[in-house]
Amino acid sequence: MRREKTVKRIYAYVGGNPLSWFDSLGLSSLIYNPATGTITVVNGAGESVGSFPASNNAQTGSRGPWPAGDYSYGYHTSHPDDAVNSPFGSFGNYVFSVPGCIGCGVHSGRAMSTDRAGRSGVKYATNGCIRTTDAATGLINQLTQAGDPLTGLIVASVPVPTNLPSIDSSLSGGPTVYMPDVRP
Amino acid sequence: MNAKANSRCATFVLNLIMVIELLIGHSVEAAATLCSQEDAIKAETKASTLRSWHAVFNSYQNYNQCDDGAVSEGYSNSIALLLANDWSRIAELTNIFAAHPKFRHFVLHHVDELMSQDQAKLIQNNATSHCPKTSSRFCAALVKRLAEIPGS
Repeated sequence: MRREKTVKRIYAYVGGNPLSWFDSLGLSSLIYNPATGTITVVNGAGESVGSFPASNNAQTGSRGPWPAGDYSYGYHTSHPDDAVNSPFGSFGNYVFSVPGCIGCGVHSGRAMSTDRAGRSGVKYATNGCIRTTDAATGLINQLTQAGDPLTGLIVASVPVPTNLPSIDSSLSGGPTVYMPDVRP
Repeated sequence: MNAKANSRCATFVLNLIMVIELLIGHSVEAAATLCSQEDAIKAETKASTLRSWHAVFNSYQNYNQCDDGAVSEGYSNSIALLLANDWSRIAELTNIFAAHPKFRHFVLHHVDELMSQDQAKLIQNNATSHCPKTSSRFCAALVKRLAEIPGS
């Protein structure tokens, strides 16, 4: 019973149904899976339009990695030095409402650097942000430019179902349950 | 009886005024330490591109309350670059410390895991082999801090 309540709270963003994974308002969203180290970009139609490496290596003393849950999108910041190897990558930082953290977002950067602990690329340490690739943030940027702005991010530890059609409520019977895609 | 009641009433009003003043004072103090979204955006936009210690100090004075998440990542980038590649400005930094000792803690706090391996080597070398006499205390603190960072 308690678990059910927790799951409902976590997936409130998608109407309490983790198998739908799309925003009924028709706006894009992100799904970060810490277990697989990937971030999936889902467009407003609920279709996965790309999956990219990502990491949430929050340094010691920071607020730590984002707990599983859903986070609403806040705002975007760009920086004068934005570039592939800069702290935030070529497309800036997409900031979400993360309780207790100011400016925690998704960005790329440090593509060709190695941090103090020997981690490089998306695994390069952050102060709480999720780091991904320029390809991922570039795609988010493209969707935004095309009128499909971000609305939220889900941190999920379960496999991500992709390419789900939206449920046609005019059909009789219960909604079809789509099994998650299994990737090798 | 009336005098007693008046006295009680006056005491109650005075206490109420004191409580209200305390609450107002507390909320003003809380507001001063909160980071608004507008401040967070302004701070983050510039935090990674501060190329002098005075620029870092000005940002610290204006947006220290926003030093978290991506803003903090930006400050760490600027501080690592200045310590690694612009060591000749170290006297400028220690002069600011003389008047603002809390800023020293801020700078040392941002010597962290976010610097690259190359930057860590350069800073270590600067602090041990090129430290001016006037900055010796800070150099010693910097070397100690570098040794404390996980992964070093």
